[in-house]
Amino acid sequence: MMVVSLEQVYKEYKLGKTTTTALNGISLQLAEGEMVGLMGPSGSGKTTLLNLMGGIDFADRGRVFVYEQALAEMSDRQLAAFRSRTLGFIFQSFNLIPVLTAFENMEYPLVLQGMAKKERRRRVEAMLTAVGLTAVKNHRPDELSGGQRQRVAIGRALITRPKLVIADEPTGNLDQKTGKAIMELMKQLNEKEKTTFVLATHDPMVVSYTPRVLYLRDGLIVREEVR
Amino acid sequence: MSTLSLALRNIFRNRRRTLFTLTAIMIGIMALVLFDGFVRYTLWGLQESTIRNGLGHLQLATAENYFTTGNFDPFRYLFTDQEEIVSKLQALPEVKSVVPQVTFAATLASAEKSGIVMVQALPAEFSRSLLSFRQIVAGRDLQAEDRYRVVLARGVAEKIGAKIGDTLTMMVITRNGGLNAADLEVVGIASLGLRELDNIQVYLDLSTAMDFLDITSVPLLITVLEKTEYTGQVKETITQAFNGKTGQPLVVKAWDELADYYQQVQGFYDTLLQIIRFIIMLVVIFTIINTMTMSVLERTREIGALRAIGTQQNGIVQLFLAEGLWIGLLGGISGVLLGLVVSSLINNLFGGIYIPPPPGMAEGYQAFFAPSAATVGRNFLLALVVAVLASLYPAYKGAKLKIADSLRYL
Ligand SMILES: Nc1ncnc2c1ncn2[C@@H]1O[C@H](COP(=O)(O)OP(=O)(O)OP(=O)(O)O)[C@@H](O)[C@H]1O
Ligand SMILES: [Mg+2]
Repeated sequence: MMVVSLEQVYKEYKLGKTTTTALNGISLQLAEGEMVGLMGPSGSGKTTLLNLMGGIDFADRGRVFVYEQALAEMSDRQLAAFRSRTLGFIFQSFNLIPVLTAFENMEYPLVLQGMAKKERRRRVEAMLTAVGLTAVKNHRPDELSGGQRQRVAIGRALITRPKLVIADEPTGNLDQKTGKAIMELMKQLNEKEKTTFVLATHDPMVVSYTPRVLYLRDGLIVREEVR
Repeated sequence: MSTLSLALRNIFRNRRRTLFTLTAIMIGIMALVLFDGFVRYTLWGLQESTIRNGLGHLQLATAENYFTTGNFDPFRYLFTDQEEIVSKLQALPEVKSVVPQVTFAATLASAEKSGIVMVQALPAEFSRSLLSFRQIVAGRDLQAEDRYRVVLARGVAEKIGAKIGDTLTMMVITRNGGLNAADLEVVGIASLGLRELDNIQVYLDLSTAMDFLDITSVPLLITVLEKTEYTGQVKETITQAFNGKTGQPLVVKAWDELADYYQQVQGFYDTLLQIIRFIIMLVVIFTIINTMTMSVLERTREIGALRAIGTQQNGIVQLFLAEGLWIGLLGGISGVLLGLVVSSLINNLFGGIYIPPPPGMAEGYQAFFAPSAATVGRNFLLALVVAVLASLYPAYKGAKLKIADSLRYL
């Protein structure tokens, strides 16, 4: 079973009179346990592609399946449940909830799932240890460094044990060393849990961790590398 | 991490804006509490003065018509078993006193001028309690042994040019159509507060009036109760107890049924209060909508992130409604508290505020604020409901944001 499957997907954006083609008939398949890098110049459609896979944006034409479910046919409630249970999102600018502590930010997706408090606590503590943030668990995002914030964001994305993790420039705001540590973490998870990763990036370091790399240009996959 | 506690933290992110919004609600609710308190005090004062202005709490007569035209034909409505009714009434624990009264129109003449007056006659010992609104401005009030002496309202004294010690002649049509006249000595002049009454009212002791009119019973029994709250209940008791058991029909009226002026004032204040409440709430609603809309806008990316990690549209709506609820709760509580503090400050420190004579009144008065638990509760609830309602639209806008777009928002 394919984790992600795109068939001839088109996406355009209209701004006034100009129309931008973000995706120009992309087809793509990701298998279980893959770790895929997505490279390409700015504006080539990487973020758009990830958004379609995550069900937070929709294709104009073509179809997007995740675990053989057509996302376009799901209601808001179903999509929310899908994102909550199956997906993990990691953003370049972290997008943590500023009023919540590191602990609470990681706990939030579990609250959404309606998990009991005790179990939540256990899981969050374990995740804090895994990402090395136990010492700062009661700090709020503005009291954390960039690397710590991204580790909170990763913890938040992985805490629900998602089958598919979508990361948009996860190391974009980090120095090389912190970026590497973050990638190590994801690699481990990929190997241990068979979690599928898609990572859009400009950073060659990131794709050095991904056995498969797709190169986008003008909304099309122009090259594919498998190592 | 419940929605409520998340919401509470969120409203204090932009402290200055939240404080501004809370202040707007607080001042609005405080104004409403004060105004409610003022109206309540004023109506209470008017109620008590209406009751002591000779209405009593309950009035008993033998016919409905007495209350409209009885003054011009008191003979038609005289009680036949007055003593029995009075003693039964006095037996009730809530009843303080039963005051027989007769009122009639008469002509009053001095050496030079004459005029039509309305005579109110009740036992002199009750004039202090039941006619306490009068201020004796010259001479003295009537006493129990004052036979054929009269107290004039100020306007009447001026109209016919009478002073203390003058002797005036009163003329009246008697029961059988004859004319009776009597000389009365002026012992006092009273100010009544209400201009219309000041120009027409005169007072006699009941025994003088009954002698003068040649009657042995009266057409009206005024019942004064220990407390105004008992009115409805005692009216019920009397109606039940006397129903069909007296020779004549018995009509019982509560004070508020007879106090047209009180009802007008009450209606006036109710309308005014509603208009003021509406305006204040409009201001509060727009302040909250503005705050919430800005808050949604500022947090666009965050809303996108919440949605991306699995929050439903409903969850976003709930979050912003909860923020509105907190704002209403905090604004409402502080507004109510401030209202109570300011009213007690004005009441106790400044001794109320002076209100100049309202229309139709001869004198101004000192107003206090008497907010009740009910009005305080009502205003607090109003703050809550309005704050939540005002948050509905911004909350809905937040929930409907396109996720991908809001994540790109800078
Ligand atoms: N909401 C939008 N409105 C208008 N145009 C958009 C919108 N979103 C994306 N685009 C356009 O679609 C194209 C693809 O954008 P996308 O963000 O997917 O590129 P990207 O590969 O992620 O770029 P970057 O590396 O800079 O993040 C770009 O030309 C962009 O300007
Ligand atoms: Mg991008």
